Parts: sequence; structure tokens; C-alpha cells
Amino acid sequence: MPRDLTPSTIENTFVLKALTERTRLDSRSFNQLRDLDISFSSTDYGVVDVKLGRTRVIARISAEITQPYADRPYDGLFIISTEISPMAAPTFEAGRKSEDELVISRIIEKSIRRSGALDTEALCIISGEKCWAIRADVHFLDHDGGLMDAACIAVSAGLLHFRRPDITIVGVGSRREVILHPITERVPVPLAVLHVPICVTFSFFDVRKASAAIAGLPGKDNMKEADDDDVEEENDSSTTVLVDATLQEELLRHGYMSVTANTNREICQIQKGGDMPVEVGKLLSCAEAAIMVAEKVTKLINKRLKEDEARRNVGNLLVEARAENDR
Amino acid sequence: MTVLDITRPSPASAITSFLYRVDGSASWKVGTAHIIASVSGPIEVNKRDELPDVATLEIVVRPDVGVTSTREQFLQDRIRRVVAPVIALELHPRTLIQIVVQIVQSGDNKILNTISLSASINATYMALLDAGVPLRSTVSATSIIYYTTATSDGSKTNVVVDPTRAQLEQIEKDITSVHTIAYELKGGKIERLLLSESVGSFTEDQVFECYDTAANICEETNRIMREAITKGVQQKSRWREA
Repeated sequence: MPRDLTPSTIENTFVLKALTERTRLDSRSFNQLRDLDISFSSTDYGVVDVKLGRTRVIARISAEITQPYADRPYDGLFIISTEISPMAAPTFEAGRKSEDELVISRIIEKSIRRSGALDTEALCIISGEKCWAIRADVHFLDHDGGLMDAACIAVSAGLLHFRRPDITIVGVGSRREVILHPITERVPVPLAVLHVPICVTFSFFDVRKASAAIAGLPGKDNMKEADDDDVEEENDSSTTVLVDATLQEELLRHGYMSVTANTNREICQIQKGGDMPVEVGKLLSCAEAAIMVAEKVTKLINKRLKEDEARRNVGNLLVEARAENDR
Repeated sequence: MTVLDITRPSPASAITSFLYRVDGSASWKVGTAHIIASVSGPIEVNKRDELPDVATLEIVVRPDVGVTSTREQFLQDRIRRVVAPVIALELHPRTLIQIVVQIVQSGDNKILNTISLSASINATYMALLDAGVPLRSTVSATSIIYYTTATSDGSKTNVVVDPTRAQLEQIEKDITSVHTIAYELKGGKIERLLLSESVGSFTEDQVFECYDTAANICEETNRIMREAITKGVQQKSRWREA
């Protein structure tokens, strides 16, 4: 396996030519997401398996009791680890951070941790002494583009699915003790998730650049491209925007923008990369599209969470545990 | 030479060929353990890791939760000891065979490593098969745990094979010894012992009991693997039927 994933010239021109003809290789429309599948483990809480087309990611959420940072005694800890192993693609080296990895981990940090998706104050047990440390480990199993989108969905879904053990504080002052109740004894407690961030990546292609690359090649069809104005008239500009690129499309794009949004119509983070300038109007409509995707995906996550809950509560034991009256 | 009439509390199951960027992949589930292994090879190797007469074998073990620690180093070492003699490394000199073992759910408690180890060996072997790496024989592994229970007239020794985590938690404080055993099989029958890791306090009789019990369990595991592979090959060859 070559140490870098650059596709061949033939592949390049095929994909770009298809784009100038308004076609994607998998016949999706330009703003269509790939098939998204979210499944939870039936045995453990906080284990999420996300499939976005061929990209596959597993997130594991776990909790431990530890001491809070000295300068933030009222906050718990929340750590996200996004190490990519050679399983995702042999071009990733074990133990060495590739550039992609740095970008992904930065975006996930901003999307989930910095945006305050998890309420860290609710993780405090005894201020300055004990707090919960929540850990999200993302395992990348298969790389077909959209690693950060899939990772964001996986961690968000995982935080909603996870249950931490219940605790009781007994005693007073310096003789306080924290009793940790195993999940077999007491029903575990969900985390305080304030919002559900969903990341969507938009890939930009400069149509003129693409056409020029193709026009330079022999073949009678290619001669037409140079004066074919259809694409530009439809687009109102020379920028093609694809939502949720596959790996092949990712390697060929001229620029990208990752937008993380939630169902409150808030943008949690925006990261624009690559070498291509894009008009503001296009970027704003991308942000709008991201909000719609966030709504769709959050709906799917909630649906799957409900199904998982139903599977676990055969016999409706947890329903009986509620204190609400029927009326 | 006593063979215990014992079966796994929960069946093992395997799936192969589900990852697209690597040459072979396998998922092994037993009890509450879930391990995914991937194999790429023979592929290009770094000049400094290149070996002139055999393929270089790289094994990476990633934990389910937390940072990589000495536990993963231990697993990596034991998996290598089992798998290196079985792969025909001399057929592909100056290349790399890269194995990545991702522990999705370890099935172990905080102190034990046995279930991760035996499940990882099984997953790795199936991924090697799926990748078409030349192998000399079949491999399968299992975990056997001895523990005591109190009875009216003293204590009784019990044995469990590949326990689930719930069972492990129940017997945790009474575990006396833990054995991870891997066998090489040819034609579905045990040939040679590849790995024998025993921790705890146990008698010589118990060890031999383990070897014989594990032989039966490993032959059954081998049958499960054959079924999974047959299904995988049928799936991959379905274009022929049209």
C-alpha cells in the first residue's frame, strides 16, 4: 500500500468530468448525505457504532472518578480521544499523528467540548476534591471520507446513550465519603447533555479549474466543455458544493468547510480549509443546509435511542420506576 | 487426564470482510467481548523495518477505553507469539504484514486480560484468512477460569470457559487461576500447543485438565470459524450463480 492515498489521473478526471455534468459517482444529489446507520450495544451503555456510507466509526464513552483541576474546582473533566489506527487505512501510522488527524481532533474538540455539549459542572461531586471524568474514545474502523462527521455523530449519540453509576455522599465536612453504586444495584444516571452537535462537511470544487484540467486531455467530448455554459448558469457561479464527500471526492476537492450545528439553529463551530475562496452567499446557504442535516440526524439518533431503550426495558421495569402519576 | 464436560455459557460468533480499506477483516464476539481485527498485507514496508528474507510483522493493539498502556503491549506480544509461527513469512520477504486489533468491548475486568487475549487471537486468525495471507495451519484460542465456591463441607472448585462479564463480576473474588490456551489445528483436529498462559495458583492436574478441555473447546471454535468463512465465501462468490 503506498504511503499516500493520491488517486490516479484517470480517476481524477473521471470524477471531475462527472461533476461538470452534475453527476456524483454514487448517483447521489449534491446535497444528499450517504446512508447513515447508528446502532448501540445491547450489553453496555455508551458504545455507539456509526456507519456513514462505507465510513465506520465506533465511539466508547466511559466514566471515572478523579480530582478536578485546581483552577476549576467546580467542573468535571471531559476528554475526547480521536487516534486513528492503520485499520482505517494503511496510510495512517500507528503512534504518529497525521495532518488529517490533527484537523479532525481539533474540529471534534471545538464541536463537542468547547461548545459545551456536556455540562461539566454537573460532573462535580465534591468541589475541589472529587469529580467525574468522562472520556470519549473514538475508534476509526474504515475511512471513506467524512471521518469527522461520523465521529461527531458517534460521540454525540454516545453521550446521550451513556449512563454513569449513581453516587451518594455521606458524612459531613472532611469526613465525607462518596459511595459508588454499581449499576447492578442502582439504576445508572444519564449525563447532562445540553445540546447535540452534528458536524457536516461541505466540499468545494472550482468548476473552471476542473474543466480546464479535462479540456487539456484528448477526446472529442472534452472539446465541448470549454464553451458549455450550462453548469455556470445553473450554479450562478463557478463553485460546486458537495455534501458528505466520499474519500475519493475528499482527495480531489479544492476546498472544504465543516459546520457543526444543532437543533437550536445554533452554529457551534465553522472551519474552512483548503485553498479555494468561496462567495459568502454560498457559505451562508451551506450553514443553513447544515442546520437541516443536524435536525435530520438528531431525529435519527433519538429514534435509535428509543428503540434501544425499548429493547432494554422488556417488561417496562423502568417505566414503573417513574414517580409521575398517570394523569 | 480428565476432560471436563463443559461448554461456553454464550456462543461465539464471527463476521468477516466488512472493512473496505484493508485486505482482510474479522469481528469476533464471545460472551461480552467484541474484538475487531484487520490485516493488510503483504504491503510496502519502511526501509528501516525491512527484513531481507521474511515479511515484517507489525501488530498494533488498540484498547477499548483509555490510552494505550502496557496491557496492550502484553497482548501484542502474546498475539505475535501465536501468529508469527503460523504465517508463512518467508514467502513474502521485504514486505509488511500489518495487523491491527481493535478491542471494542474487552470482556475482561480491570485485572484480567485473558478474554481479550483469546478473543483477539481468534479475530486475528480470521482476519489473516480473510486477507489471504499464506498460513501453515488453523489457530484457535480459549480462556479457562478456575474459581472456588463455598459449600456446606468446605469449598468446591468450579471451572468456566469464556465467561461473560456478568459472570466474571460474580466470581471475581473467588478466582484461583486463569488460563489462556491457543492450539494449532489441522483438519479440524488439535496438532500443537501454541500458547499457554496461566496466572494464579493451580495444581499440575488442573493444568493438564485445562489442556484437554481447551482442546475440545478449540475444536468447536474451529467449527464456528469454518461456518463463518463458508458463509463469507458464499457471499463473495454469489456473482457466479447468476
